Amino acid sequence: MSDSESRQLVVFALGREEYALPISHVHEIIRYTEPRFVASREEWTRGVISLRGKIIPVHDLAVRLGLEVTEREEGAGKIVIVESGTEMVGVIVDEVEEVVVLENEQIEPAPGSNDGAVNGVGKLDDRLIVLLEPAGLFGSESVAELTEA
Amino acid sequence: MDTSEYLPMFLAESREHLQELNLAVLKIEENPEDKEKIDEIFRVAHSMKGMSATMGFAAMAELTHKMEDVFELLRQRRGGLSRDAIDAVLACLDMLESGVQNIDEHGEERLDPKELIARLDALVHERTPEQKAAKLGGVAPDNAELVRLAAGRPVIHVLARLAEDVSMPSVRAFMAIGACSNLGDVLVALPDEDAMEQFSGEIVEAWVVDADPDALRNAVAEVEEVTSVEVDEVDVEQLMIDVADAPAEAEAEEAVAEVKAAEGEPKPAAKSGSGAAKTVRVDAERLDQLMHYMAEVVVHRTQLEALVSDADHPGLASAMQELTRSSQSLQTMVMQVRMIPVEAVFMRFPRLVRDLSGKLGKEVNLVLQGQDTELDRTVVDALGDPLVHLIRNSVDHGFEPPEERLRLGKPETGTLEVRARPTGGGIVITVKDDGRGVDPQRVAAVGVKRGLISADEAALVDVPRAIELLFSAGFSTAEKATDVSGRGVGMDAVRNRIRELGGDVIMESVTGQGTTTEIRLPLSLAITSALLVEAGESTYAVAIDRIERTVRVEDWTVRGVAGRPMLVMGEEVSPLIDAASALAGRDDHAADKPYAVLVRSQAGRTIALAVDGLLGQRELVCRSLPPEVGEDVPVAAAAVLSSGEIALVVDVDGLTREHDRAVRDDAAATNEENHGLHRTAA
Repeated sequence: MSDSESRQLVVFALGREEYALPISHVHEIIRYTEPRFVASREEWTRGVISLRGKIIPVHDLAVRLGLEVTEREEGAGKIVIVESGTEMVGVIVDEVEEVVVLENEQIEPAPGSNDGAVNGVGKLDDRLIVLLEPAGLFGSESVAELTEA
Repeated sequence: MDTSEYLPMFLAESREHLQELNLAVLKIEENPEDKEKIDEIFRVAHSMKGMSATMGFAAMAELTHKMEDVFELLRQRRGGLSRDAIDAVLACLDMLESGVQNIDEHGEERLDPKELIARLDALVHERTPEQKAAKLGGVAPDNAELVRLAAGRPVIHVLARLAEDVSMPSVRAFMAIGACSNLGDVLVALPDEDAMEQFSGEIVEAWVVDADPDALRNAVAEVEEVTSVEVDEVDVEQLMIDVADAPAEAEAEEAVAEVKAAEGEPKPAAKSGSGAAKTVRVDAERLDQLMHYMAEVVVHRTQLEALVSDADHPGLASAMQELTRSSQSLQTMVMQVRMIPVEAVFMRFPRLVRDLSGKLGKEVNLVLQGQDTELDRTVVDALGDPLVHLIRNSVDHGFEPPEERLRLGKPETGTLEVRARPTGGGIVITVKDDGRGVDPQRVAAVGVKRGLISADEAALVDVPRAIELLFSAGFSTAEKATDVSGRGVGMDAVRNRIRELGGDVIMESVTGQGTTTEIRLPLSLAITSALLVEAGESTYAVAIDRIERTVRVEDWTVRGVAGRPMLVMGEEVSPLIDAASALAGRDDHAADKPYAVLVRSQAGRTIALAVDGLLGQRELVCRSLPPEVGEDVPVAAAAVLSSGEIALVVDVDGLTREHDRAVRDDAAATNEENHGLHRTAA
């Protein structure tokens, strides 16, 4: 992505904050269904769901980012299906809000490091949107390999 | 001619041919008088050359042609080929293989066979001119001779094809060559005067000087039953290549015809010497698709079965039964179609062992058994690398050098046995060597160096523990990585690969006597017959072929042994494991559950899995779990049930391992306590 370009982002709500993923990495958004629990190493891994027969892992974004996890109402919540490399993962969020376009000058580097999960903060009027990095978020390449090694 | 649509076929067949040649050449090295093998070599090399020429891969065609010249020596001389010649031919096969690989990847051969061709030429130089002439059908368009005959004049090469059903080939050939000699000076012609009478081919060639190319073309084209004429001017260098290609081109048509036949209709009985079976070549991808759709049919059928059991319509139940029955037969059929003999991987081994043992100065006799044992294609494909690794290990680390073997009173030549045999629900492949076996002390020393065990622990390492260490991630037996054993891939990689396939690897060794490694594999991967069980409000599936039986726990006795419950059924005593906790990664002993499913591990151990309920048998399409979930729990795969619910498939072997580990940890903890007490006492 070159500097002069703008980014198309899918913005979603989690708790009281707003987060975004590049639209190119968002495969689809489905209604929340309870994942089948599978015990896993990472506490944010909630289990697996079947997306048209394909088994994909589902991660709880709030747990991953160290946010307070609030009980969700029945029928609330969404799962964003994120494509990262050849893998697909489901990410639990509260609500998907909109698609926005941010110019690169509206984006600042993330304050402090966040182990590769965050790659910047976008400013849109008075809103602050945290830009997530799909590969660093649950990336099988990053987290899994670090723990393997 | 556009040949691109035949490319996949060409690649597949070339690889097969190269494998066959590799094997046959090694057989000839062993037994030079094997007439059948020699014939096979000629047949295969011949069609390889024809195919390459047809597809326009000139370097491969030429190389194969030169290789044939070397093979020709086999027919002329007794006592077979020299070691040099075998090496050159094998190098040639390697180059052809890389040509095939390059074509696959880049669409072109990217070969520079000059050096190798010179090497092959040098080998055949001793051949007498008469023999050479005989091979080329009576005519030897010898380069030097042509140059002499041409005496500086431009040579025109005329190639005329006769109709496939030509009635009098010798007459037409005579007429075509006659037409050439009317217009110019024919230096060499194929067929020549002596062979003209018996000529029965479809290709007539002539090298002409002092003639107009267009006039030649027109004149030859006018001969009856000539279907096409090619005329081109050649310089001497070019001529050399033409000479090499001439026989190849003659076969080109034949090869294309074969390819075409294989496309649409069953090939006439395979030409290969071993077993002429009625076979059809099918694109592997189509087989995978077939499997995929079959899997979907099974899922839909399961859904339908659930609906039918609730419905009440006359005849529905029996119609459902019929559908189930026929779809099961279909499923069995699809599975069978996907089965191929393990020979497909075994074929690589003779060459591998020859090269490795040669390089390492070891003498190894490879014994292959059960090559015709069949397995699902995907499994066979995936088996190659792990088996190659095991064989390399044996040759590199297992076998002692010949003089050391003699000193130890062993036969000078080591025996490496690779054997496949079917078992109940799968197959077992054994790699067995009579080398030095696993040396616990050496393994322990490496283990310490790698930080896998402490120096104190090293003293206690016995053979089973050493084998366990060999399979640990980050262990490599080679004290220094050689180019034979490579680096970075150890036995743990082998085991992981096999476990991904639903199998397991077991190694046994007697120090000083050898090592036996067993790979156990299921026959097929995708559709599994499984028992659904309920445990902790979740559904799990256990593969039917792993279940010995199911029992009501209250009918038998449960006893505590070393703090762990055991299910006692007469003579049979099995650990009783609570499914809900074990499969969720907890180690709870409590097992106040109504039912137990007795499962058997690959190693033959039985474990009783305590569950809340038995839900019945289903056909499941198992899909592997994503890598980041369930790493530490014994679940092997997931399957989507007709209700949309996901059932996790129990990894019976993993379960056994977890159990063993828990028991060992208990024991270690107890030891520690005792040790602690001991110290305070002292």
